[in-house]
Amino acid sequence: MMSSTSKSNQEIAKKIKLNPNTKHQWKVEQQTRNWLELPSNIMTDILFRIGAKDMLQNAQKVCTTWRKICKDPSICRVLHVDGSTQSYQEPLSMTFKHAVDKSQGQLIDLTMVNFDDDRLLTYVADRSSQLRRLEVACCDGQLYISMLKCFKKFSLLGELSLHSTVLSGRIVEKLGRYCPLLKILKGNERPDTYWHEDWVEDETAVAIGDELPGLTHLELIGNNMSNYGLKAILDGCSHLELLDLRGCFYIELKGAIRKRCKKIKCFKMPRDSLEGCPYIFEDSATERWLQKSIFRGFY
Amino acid sequence: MSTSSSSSKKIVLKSADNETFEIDEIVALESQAIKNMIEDECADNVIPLGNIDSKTLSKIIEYCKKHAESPKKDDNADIDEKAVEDLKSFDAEFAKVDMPLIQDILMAANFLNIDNLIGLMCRTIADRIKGKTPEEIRKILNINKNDLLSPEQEAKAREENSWAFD
Repeated sequence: MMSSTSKSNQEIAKKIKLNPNTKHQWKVEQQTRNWLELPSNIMTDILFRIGAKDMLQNAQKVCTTWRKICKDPSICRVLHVDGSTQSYQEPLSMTFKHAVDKSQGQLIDLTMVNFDDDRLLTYVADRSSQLRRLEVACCDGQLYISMLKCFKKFSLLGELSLHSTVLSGRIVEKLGRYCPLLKILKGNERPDTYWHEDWVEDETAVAIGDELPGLTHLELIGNNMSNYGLKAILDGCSHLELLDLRGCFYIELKGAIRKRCKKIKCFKMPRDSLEGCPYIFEDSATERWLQKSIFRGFY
Repeated sequence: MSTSSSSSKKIVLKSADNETFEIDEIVALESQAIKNMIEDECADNVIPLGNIDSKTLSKIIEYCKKHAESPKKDDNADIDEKAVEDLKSFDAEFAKVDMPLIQDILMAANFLNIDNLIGLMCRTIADRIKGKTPEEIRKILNINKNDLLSPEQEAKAREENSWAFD
């Protein structure tokens, strides 16, 4: 790193040089600091961290500088909507429609939690062809229908997470058809608390094996697949680097299939601790049952 | 670039109020701007920081010392979790200062290009203004009254919002 040409020296010197004016200004204004002297990238950073809702309702009315920053579409590229914070005075869906409009098609990352307004997803789909990551948690069946319809608009989607939200074979089919860049798929459901052989369901797993050969990261926590479904996944998805099968109690992990799973770089077994799974394993009843079921010894 | 002797090498910084601070080079390297100077060999003498006062500078040095001592993520894949926790609680304590000082630190961190510190200060400010009304935010940040929205802009912002809440 001996590149001490006179030019770069000058540049550095310029960067760090004392500016008498700055010094003077600093001293004079010490009592009444002006936040607006902050470079706009830093202001944007701060506003980005307070989230879209605060930005639209409060921050943009603080001063003209902030209003200008809040008007920049790129600031709404990442949105997080949580229905549990909704109140009658502030209809959340409207705020978020506003945020989606503001993003002017640049939305790349959307998280929806506890949300029952399925129209929002349709609204997003019609306006956000750039979406790369979608996370849906604890949303009811209504949303499911609009989700099925929206994937054809999300052709750049690379990551989908569905927590406590149905990940069906039909959804997988749509993903396979319309989202060729999908690499990460996370499905996360509460495992059934009673075991019954009739509840085995391999539809989703088989669809994943058939439709999504490009996956590198697959979590199917609490899925009711059997070894048949698992084999379909292993056969179909040859690029898997992570496979998380925690809570998949209908899988009997032994012999050849066990060996195949163990070859995956990061593999989590059905009986591994569910700690850290978001949204679903927080209640102690499930946890207790899972503990007990280990003694019952079924796989 | 010498590596073995650099750990003991000292760098001298001078604040706007002419106080000098002698620090280990490794601490100074937390600042990308100073790092560039060192690499280009223009840090042999005292480095004057004419827009940073001694109170702010000593705070920044405190931060850089702690972070320079902590194991870096890229050094070792499985770093001690305790060290991470320790650094987190240091950061939390560090940020418990009044708003004017936070702004001074932020401006200085931006000037010296210390990424982590910029992030910490932005996060602190965001936490303090989250959920507050425009008036409260102006008060917390002591926003210059010259920059308030004109009545027309105010009306426009209100109008946009009423549209949003139809």
